[in-house]
Amino acid sequence: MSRHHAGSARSLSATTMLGLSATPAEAVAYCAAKLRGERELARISFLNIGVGSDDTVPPELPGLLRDAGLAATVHLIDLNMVRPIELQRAELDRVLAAAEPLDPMWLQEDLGLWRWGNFDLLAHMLNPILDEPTLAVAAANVRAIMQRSGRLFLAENAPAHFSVEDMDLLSFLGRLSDESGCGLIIDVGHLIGYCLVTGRDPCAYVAGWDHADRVLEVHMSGYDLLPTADAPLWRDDHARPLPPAALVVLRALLDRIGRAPAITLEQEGAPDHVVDGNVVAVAEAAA
Amino acid sequence: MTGDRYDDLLVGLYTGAAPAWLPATARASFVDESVRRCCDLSAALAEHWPCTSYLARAVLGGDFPDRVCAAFPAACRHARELTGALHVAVTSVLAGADAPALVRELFRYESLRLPGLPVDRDAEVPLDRLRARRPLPAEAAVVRFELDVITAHVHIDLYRRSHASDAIALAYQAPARPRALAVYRRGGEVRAVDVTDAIAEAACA
Repeated sequence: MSRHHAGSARSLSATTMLGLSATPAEAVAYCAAKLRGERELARISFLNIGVGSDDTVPPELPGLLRDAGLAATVHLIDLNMVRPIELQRAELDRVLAAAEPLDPMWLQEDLGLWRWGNFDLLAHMLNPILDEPTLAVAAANVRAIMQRSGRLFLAENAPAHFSVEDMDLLSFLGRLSDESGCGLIIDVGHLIGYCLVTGRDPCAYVAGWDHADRVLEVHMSGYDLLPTADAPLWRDDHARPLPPAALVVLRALLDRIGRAPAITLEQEGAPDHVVDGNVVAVAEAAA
Repeated sequence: MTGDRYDDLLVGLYTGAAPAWLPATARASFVDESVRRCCDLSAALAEHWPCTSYLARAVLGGDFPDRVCAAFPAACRHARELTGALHVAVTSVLAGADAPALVRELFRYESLRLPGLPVDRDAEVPLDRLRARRPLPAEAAVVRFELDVITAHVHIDLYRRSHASDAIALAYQAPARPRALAVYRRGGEVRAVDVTDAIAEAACA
């Protein structure tokens, strides 16, 4: 097990840390805006920076983060956590090298299949098959990433429009944390999507979860629910304001976690006023 | 592709064939997800190639988007992102269906406006002499069409926007005038200019 077990993360705070997701270029702009005292950025204490294997981090970014008083987490992009990481060694080495100058609190990636050969699946990604074979592969991958990077890794629940499963999502995540030593991220929108396709009530579902203490970060983003005679259809849409239902689930999750995790707002494509409104809404919900 | 269960799922979601190993309890939601993905591809198809999609439905059948969807997994092996994979998939469907020239040429014409797709430029055109007659940027490429594709696009686009019947689309006869278009970017927008006459003049000069 890595020395960076989930329980030893160095940046856990007694009060909620709010962060924004960003590309490396957007991170530079956020740092500059915070230094200028703009918008609601005074409430932001870290940036969740997406880094892919083809990305380079602007050399000035580490210094800007320090000047702006912002910590960093790194969202590794396009790793297939459900396939052996040894098959993706070149991509992994490149992305870890790119992330290293940011000295991130931890690394993270959604569990799923994101690249199909050289094809970037994006919204056509596959969420994991929730069973023992996938669990074994994902746990081995997490251990390998933590060993190679020397950093804590957080596994995130991916978007889910359907589910193939022998075990439920939260049980899978708990087992993964037990077997790999990783921390966890719950993306509230993704969780709501999963609950809709599996017929669960999200608040009751998290209230009964016995591994909520492994959650070190929560992701919040907009989504759309299309009403039908059956369950509503869930559509990820990061540009939208946070639905009130997402804040209710956030509160239930925080109550179950029992302490303050980091919260990242993922809002690609959202106008500034939506981002600022979401920051205020989450800060108040988490208070 | 590794031939594992994830390959099985991805191929099945676009072809509509659930893997044999898929539990019975997951089959209904698999079908729903297959429909969602095919709708997403159909929407992208209609957005990027609106006139091609409209005319192909009329000429080849209303299941044209389904055929493109079924060709999508194989196309992903030859592309890095969605638009590129759709381009490969549509190309293979049109070739397999022996689509008429108007559909194929509209597809090539609408593809010119999408960044990152291959452009089959005519390398034989004397661009220096052409530029002496028409002000064209240095990066302009000349692409040849079997028919007057700009005129055809105007007509088909009008029918499409009007939600005209298949009969109207099928009755349209594209002008059988081979055309050469100079294609280039200007201010982030792709421009296609008819240079057929200018090329002829340059050749005679």
